[in-house]
Amino acid sequence: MNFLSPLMLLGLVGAAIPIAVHLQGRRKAKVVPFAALEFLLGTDKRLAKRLVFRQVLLLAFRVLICVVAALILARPYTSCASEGPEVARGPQAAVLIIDDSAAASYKLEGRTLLSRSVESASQLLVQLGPEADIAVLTTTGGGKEELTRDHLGLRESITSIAPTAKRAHGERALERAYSLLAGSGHERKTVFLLLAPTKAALPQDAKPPTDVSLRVLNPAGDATLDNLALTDLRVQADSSIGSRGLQIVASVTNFSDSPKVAQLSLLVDDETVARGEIGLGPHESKNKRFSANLSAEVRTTEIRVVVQDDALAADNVRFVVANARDQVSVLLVNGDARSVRHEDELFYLEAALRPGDRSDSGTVISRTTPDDLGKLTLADYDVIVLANVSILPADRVTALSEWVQAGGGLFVSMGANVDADRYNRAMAPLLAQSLRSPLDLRRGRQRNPQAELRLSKLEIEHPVFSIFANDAPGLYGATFWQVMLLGPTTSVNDRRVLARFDNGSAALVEARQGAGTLMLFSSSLDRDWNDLAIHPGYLPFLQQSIRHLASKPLQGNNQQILVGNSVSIKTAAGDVRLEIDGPGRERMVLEGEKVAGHKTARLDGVNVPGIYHVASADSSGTLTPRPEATFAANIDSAVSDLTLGSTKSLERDSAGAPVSDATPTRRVELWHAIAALLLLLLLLESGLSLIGRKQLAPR
Amino acid sequence: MAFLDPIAISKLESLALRAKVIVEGALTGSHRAKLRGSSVEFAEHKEYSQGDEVRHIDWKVLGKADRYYIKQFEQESERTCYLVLDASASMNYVGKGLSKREYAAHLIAALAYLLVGQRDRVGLSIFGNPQEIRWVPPKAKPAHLRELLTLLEEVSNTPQEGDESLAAALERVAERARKRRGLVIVASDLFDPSGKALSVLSHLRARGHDAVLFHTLDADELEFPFNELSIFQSLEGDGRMLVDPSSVRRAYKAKMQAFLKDCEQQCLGAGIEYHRARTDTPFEDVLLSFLAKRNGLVGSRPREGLGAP
Repeated sequence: MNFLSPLMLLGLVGAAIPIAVHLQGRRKAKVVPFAALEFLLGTDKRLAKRLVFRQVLLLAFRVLICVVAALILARPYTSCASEGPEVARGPQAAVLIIDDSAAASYKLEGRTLLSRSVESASQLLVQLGPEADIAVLTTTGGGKEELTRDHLGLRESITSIAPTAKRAHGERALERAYSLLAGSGHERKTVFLLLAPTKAALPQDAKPPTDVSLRVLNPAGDATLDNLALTDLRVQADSSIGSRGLQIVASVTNFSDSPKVAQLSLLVDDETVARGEIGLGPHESKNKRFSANLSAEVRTTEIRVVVQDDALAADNVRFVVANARDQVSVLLVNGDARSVRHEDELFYLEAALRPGDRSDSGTVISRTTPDDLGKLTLADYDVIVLANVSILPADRVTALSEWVQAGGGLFVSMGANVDADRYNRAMAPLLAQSLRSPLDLRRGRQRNPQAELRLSKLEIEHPVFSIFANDAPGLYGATFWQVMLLGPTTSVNDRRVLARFDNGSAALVEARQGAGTLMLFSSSLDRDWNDLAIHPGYLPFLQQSIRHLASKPLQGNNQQILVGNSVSIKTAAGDVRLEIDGPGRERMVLEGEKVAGHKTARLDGVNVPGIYHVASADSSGTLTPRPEATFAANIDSAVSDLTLGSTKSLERDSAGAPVSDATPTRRVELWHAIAALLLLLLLLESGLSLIGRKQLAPR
Repeated sequence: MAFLDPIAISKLESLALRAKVIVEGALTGSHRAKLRGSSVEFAEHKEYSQGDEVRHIDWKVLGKADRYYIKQFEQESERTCYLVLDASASMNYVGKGLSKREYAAHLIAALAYLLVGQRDRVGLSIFGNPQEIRWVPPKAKPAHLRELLTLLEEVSNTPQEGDESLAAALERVAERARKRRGLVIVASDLFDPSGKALSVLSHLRARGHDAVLFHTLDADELEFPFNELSIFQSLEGDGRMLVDPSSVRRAYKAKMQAFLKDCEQQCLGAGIEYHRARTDTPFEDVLLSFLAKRNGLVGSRPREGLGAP
């Protein structure tokens, strides 16, 4: 037991007062010689003993009353191991931040972390006492931004908190809490964070102000929170199974210290179409690939991957929407047209862009020559390929440059018609990088396999190459005997070498030009300079390149919409109203100023993971489904990592000092209990005196 | 009848005078006549006065002194009286007036005065201190009274020590009164730790002695009027007791009443004449009560040996 005002313990000498009075009273007792003492002794021994006992008891009570009064003035307190408030009761300000993120729905021993936190918060309310100003916030942005003593309302607020699918933003919640406490006049200010301190939930640099103590109350206690989660789901075209083939890539992560087997199911339009298992080591992440074909008549397909249930159900499912791809309009400018078809510059390119010459390839191809290029309206095309084209007239270069600036995608490939110097002078606005000189590795007209180049470094993360495996055999097998060496870096933005040859020279360069994209392939698209065209990687490489340039690189709607974020929905001209049906059948409506006159409308109510269907209405009120706008919302995969971090570097006690690693202690002021004891002693003393008087009164 | 209170009487010079005042006060209004003794034992001379018998004139004195003197002879008493005075330390208690010892001494002195005046043989036993046994054998000479009163005055004026029991004193009296039955008058508070006092007195009664008990008590002992927290100190020992009087009064009085009742019952059962003598009661009251009972004014049968002359 310690004391806040130890000097007041001097009051303990006051305990001598009743003793002195008692002794004085004894000294003052008159001595009466009495003959009939035997009658007193004989008749009243018991009473006399009782009298003495009562006097001793009264003396004890009075001494205790003095001692207790001095103790109360000295404000005693003790420290006990507890995760509660550092000081129970008394005027103070406190903010309770309760984690209601997706992670809080983790079930530990049959109870969610949120329910544990709610229970702890309710206990805190009691421990803090009625004099405390308290605010309750949630990590996802909920709660009231006010400190109040309405504990009944606070209790209702706490018990009404339900788990969300959002990510916890502990730092934001802390900032809100600190802001609230800054306006409080109380000396003692405390923030209680009731959450499992995962890295995602609790940033380690959110240090509290010096006058605020921060306590983290982990509802999980010492338990480790194992979790198996789907952390990503993407869809991409899989031409190997057809023009409407899809490859669905699900990323699974084992957030636990023991190996696990993930059992995954692929559901397309609510129908299970595939199952699979994948073994995962501790804290290992792996991709599971599924393939599926879209029906010809279906424009939008809802895809869901589910992993078996575990303690955290929220991250066991992810959604994605696969849209039937839009037709990409490609203009191929043939710089080396031949009458023999397979010798034509575009022979392999056309075959790659329209495999099987099927109408569902998603690509509309137009051919032209450099001379006829000026007759065409460039805006009709998404992508233009300059294949072995000699320099163009300046007006066409200007037109092409403006078209790129406006959002077009230009693919430039090399060939015999390309002269580096002249290109640099006349075509510079269309080049992702300037040209230096051609490199011919043949011996005369004979190929020299030892000297030929191969692709060696691909930017696998780039959409063009993301569909290839790391070893990309379909690309690495190709040999290049003639390439164009590139010159110094140009002034274009975001230049990026996407592929290099094994001699280090650039093979594919990408650059941004205004709203458009430039790509420069430093070899030919036919077999004049390489044999890439006859390797399996040629087709996906060019298809991905064309789609990338058309800003439609993938077949699925892989836009990562996370629960809790806002979504931009494209509107059509004449739309006055958008209706969005969420996964829980809830309907959200955007209309008026939010829709009319805007190219996109912003939707803020995406709080549940799942598929959202969009329909639009024009001024006539006719509601038209907008399948291309259908989108999927998923929980932030960051909530899945429930590896608990240390909070010791973050927590601060009331003195501003970091809390130790020992069990957290809280200060319990004892004067309330001692005051109650004082009251009890006073009552006992009064009662004893009263009873004594009644008992001993003359009758 | 107006009586002098014990305090006023105690202010008189000598016990002899006090005894006389007490007795005369008690007997005021009665016819006073000298007892005429018929014994042969010469007692003393008295100047002749009219009415005296001529045959009692001492002619030899007439011849020598030429004055008429009557020869008086000691009358032979019919009874022997044993006065027993408790002078133990417990009798030292003094309340608002006289101490029990003084009161009892005055009472005994008055009785001695009365009895000697009747020519009874009066003996006196004062007990209390086992080391100092005071015993005056019974005699009927008028001069014997002076000896009795002197001793009584000494006891009355001096606080006594000792806790000898009344039973022991009475056994001593019984031993000495073995050959001659008589009247045993006891003045005591009966605070006898042995509790045998009344039993011995009963034995005396059974042997033919007439027994009278003056149970001498102070008003404080009966009423226990104390209020303040006090340490009560025993008069006959080392006993001390811190007492809140208000807390024990009820029980004390009950105990005292039971004691008094027991004493009365035992006396009544044994034929012992019981008189309660509160120290705040005028001596005459006690004496009159005694005389009235002895003369049959109270009770059914006149007692022998003591009455108004």
